[in-house]
Formats: sequence, structure tokens, C-alpha cells
Amino acid sequence: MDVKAILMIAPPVAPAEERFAGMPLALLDIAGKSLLEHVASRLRSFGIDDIAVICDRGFDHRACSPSPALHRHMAEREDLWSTCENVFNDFAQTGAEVVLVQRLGAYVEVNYDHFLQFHLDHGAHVSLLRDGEGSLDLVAISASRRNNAAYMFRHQLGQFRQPPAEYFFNGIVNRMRDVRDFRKLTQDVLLQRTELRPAGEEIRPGVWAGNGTRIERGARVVAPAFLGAHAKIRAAAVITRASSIGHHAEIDCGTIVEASSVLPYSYLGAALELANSVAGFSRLANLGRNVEVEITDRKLLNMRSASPSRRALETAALFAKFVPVEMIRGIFVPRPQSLPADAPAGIRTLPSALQGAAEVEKKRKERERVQAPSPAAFENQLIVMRRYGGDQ
Amino acid sequence: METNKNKSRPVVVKRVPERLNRIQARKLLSEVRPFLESDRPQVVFDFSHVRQMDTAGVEMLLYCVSQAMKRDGDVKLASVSPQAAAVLELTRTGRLFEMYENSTDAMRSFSCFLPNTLRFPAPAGINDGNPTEKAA
Repeated sequence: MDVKAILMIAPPVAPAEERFAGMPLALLDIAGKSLLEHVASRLRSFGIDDIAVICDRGFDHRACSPSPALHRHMAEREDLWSTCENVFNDFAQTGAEVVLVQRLGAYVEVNYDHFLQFHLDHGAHVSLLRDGEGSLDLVAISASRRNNAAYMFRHQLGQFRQPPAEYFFNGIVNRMRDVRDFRKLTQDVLLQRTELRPAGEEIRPGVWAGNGTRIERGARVVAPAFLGAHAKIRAAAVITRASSIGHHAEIDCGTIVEASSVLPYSYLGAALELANSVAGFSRLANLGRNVEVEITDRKLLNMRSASPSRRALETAALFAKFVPVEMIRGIFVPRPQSLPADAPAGIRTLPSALQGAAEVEKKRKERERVQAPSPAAFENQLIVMRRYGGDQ
Repeated sequence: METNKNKSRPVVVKRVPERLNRIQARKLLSEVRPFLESDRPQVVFDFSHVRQMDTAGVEMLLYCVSQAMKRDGDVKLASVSPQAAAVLELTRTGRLFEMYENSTDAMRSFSCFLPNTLRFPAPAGINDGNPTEKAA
């Protein structure tokens, strides 16, 4: 059976945010892939390969992972549903029998095969997925029912020409209403409570990393955690408690990221503590305080360019600014006073309390040298190995 | 006697502007500096209007508290808005200050201990759906 799918990223009918910094949550990075890509991957795993994505043209796609396999239809916000109707008609003309329409929106871990089987068994024109709270914005519609489809799209999946067959779902659902739900889904992915898996290699149990991730010496990554492709974790930084670092993000020296998500291309400054938050697009959403703050200070949080050449230029500019400042500081700022001339001698002299112990150690070394059978024949390290080897 | 002395010492309450950036921080510091240079300064910053704050603001606060402590005084924060609290938490400076619900409580706290008026930052992990937190 020919089944095709339409994934929509449109504002909800009911008053819900589904946004962070003006971006739909479905386009933000969840352990390496956006929700859109995660859902598309799931659809493909059920053999639904022909997927159209309909999205608002106005969104800034810098932080969204590109997915060339998806057919994207960008439209103005007013034309989203009419575009959806046109795509549905195109699918019907190209031989689709059933079209799945899903608004993201909610993440629903439904078995698409079961849902389609339900649709066919009931001989319904339209089948709607719902749970105890209401509709989950996932509809299966027979491609021959264009009038039903047109009516449904005009009412933004809220009303139907005929009552749909309702498929009650009681599995894993995340409605992605706000940033808290976004963090919850990220945690569920990292704790493997859902079928979604982080998009990276598992470099240690519970720690996933994309290509080209750089973890500097002294940085600590505590499982479960995800580090996106080309992310940089600077020295003494700590990533812990189901935190996710987006691709090309940078966590500067000594910063702690705890139970938080750092979105792609973000720079998080040195010696900070990001706890229970989502940071990106120069904004910070603190879940504990339920507040979203704009951070204008680039030392704290900054958004880097998506273009590699521009990022290189920015780094070069920073370096060019840093060197003269350090030179001027080196020339004009007075240096700390040097140590007194007799300091090394003073340091070399043992305190009276340790002088007895030093004598004993000196005598022990002398005795060992005398007792050794042929010291010239063996390297010192070899003698030490035999002495502590435990075999003799 | 010492308590009486503390009670009689003036407490300066200063309202912090909506945007605490470099310029505003410098202006605020110039206004507060004379009080900080007095003996045992007692300063309260009212953060109720603050919506945006950057590192210059945080540095100003740290400078004020260091100056106050040099002279055996203290700096306290009152009515800290969630936005300011988020920045203070991000920069790890929130824990250095006593925070109160309002300026009156902050002023009174210089003369007596007010156990139920102190505001502590929300602990990390609260309501974040972490299984360990739920289990606890």
C-alpha cells in the first residue's frame, strides 16, 4: 500500500507556546537531531519514505540540522494550511492511497502500522489519534477523500467533515507545549526511555558524541550526556545529568552544564553554571524559575555564525584583538616583585623537623647501592621493577 | 550595646534600574560608593525592576560586597526578579548574597535574624523530571 506523510510545523490552535526564542520546539536540537528529523526517521523505519515537510518561511534555520532527504515546502504563515492541501492533492495524484498528516507539535511514539491497520479495518475516511487529553494532531486520511481533506486543513485539524474514527493511544506522548517538555524529551532520549536514539557514536557507556567533537583535557563528561558534532568542551568544564550540547556549540573553561540543553552554535562563557535550563539564540530559559531571559552579554552567552568561514573570521578577529591587549599589558602593567636572591637556597634547605628523615633516606639509598650485585649492568628502572614485581 | 549600635546604623536601600549594563552599573556604583566607604556599610539593592543584567552588573555587585566586607559591612539583595536571579545563578554569584522577599525584610535583617524571609535559589533539578529527584 502506498502511504505518504505530511509533517507540519505550524502554530497550535489552542493557546500554547511551542516556541523557544521564537523558534518552534520541533526544530530545536534533541540529542543531535530535531524532533522533525526524529519523527521522519521513525516514519522511514515503518517504510514511509515519501515525506513532505511544511514549515513557516519566517523561521531562522541556522540552528536546525539540515536534512536533505526531506522535501521541504516553505510557506508564509497564512498559507501553511493551503500549502498542506496542495501537497495532499499532489500525493493523491501520484498514487498515494493513504496520507498521514502530523502536526509537530507533540511527539507520539505510535506504531504507524497499527494506526494504518486501524484506519483500513474501520473503513474510515479519516482516522484521528487521540489520548486522554484530546487530539494528538495525527491523522490518517484516504487520499481519495479530497473534500474531507480540504475541510480538515481549512479547520487546522480541529474539525472534520464527518466524525473521524478515533484511535485511542496510551503509549509515550510528549506534547512539547513548552521548554520544559522539550527538556523532558531530551532526558527521555538520553535515558533511553523512548525509541529515539541520540545521533552520534557512543564513546562511553551513556555518552554520545558526534563527528569532530573536541573534549579538552581536564573536562569531565558524566553519563548520560550528548555532545553534538564539532562541539568544543574546554578544559575543566563539566557536562552532567542528561545534558545535551548541540553541534558546533562551545562550552568554555570551568563551566558546569547540569540537566540542561545548549542549542547548536551557542557559546557558553567561562566559569558559569548552567543548571536546569535551555540556552541558545542568546536566550536562557530557566526551568526552575520558569523564566526566559535575553542575555545580551557575549561573555555569558553568544550565538556563533553557521557559516564556517565567518566563524573562522570571528576567531581571527578575537585573536587579533587579544594579542595587542596582552602586549600592552605586558609592557605597561608592573610585574610582580621577583623572589629574593636567597630564596632558592632557603627552599632547598629542609626544615629541622624533616632533617632526621632525610638522613635516614640518604642512608637507605647508600645501603641499596652497596648491596646491588652489579649496578652498572642494569638500568635503575629495571632494578626497581624487579624489586616491586612481587615474584621474588 | 553592640546590637543597639547596629540598629542605629543607617541602611541604604538602592533601587537597581531595569537594565543593569556597564553604563548603568558604573552610574549605580558612583552613587553607592560614598556609603560603601563609610564604616560598616549596610546596603540593600532592590532588584524588583531588573529585567536584564550582564557581567558588568555582576562585577559591580562583587565589587560592592568586597568593599563592604573590608569595612565589616554587608550587601544584601531584595525582591530579586526571576530574570536577575537566573543571571546570578548562571554566574554562580547568587550564593554570595543574602536575598529577601522585599526591601523591608532586607533592612530588618541587619538588626535581627529573620529565618522565614530568606529566599534561596531554586535547587538545580527541581521539577526537571529527573528520576533521582522524583525518587527523593
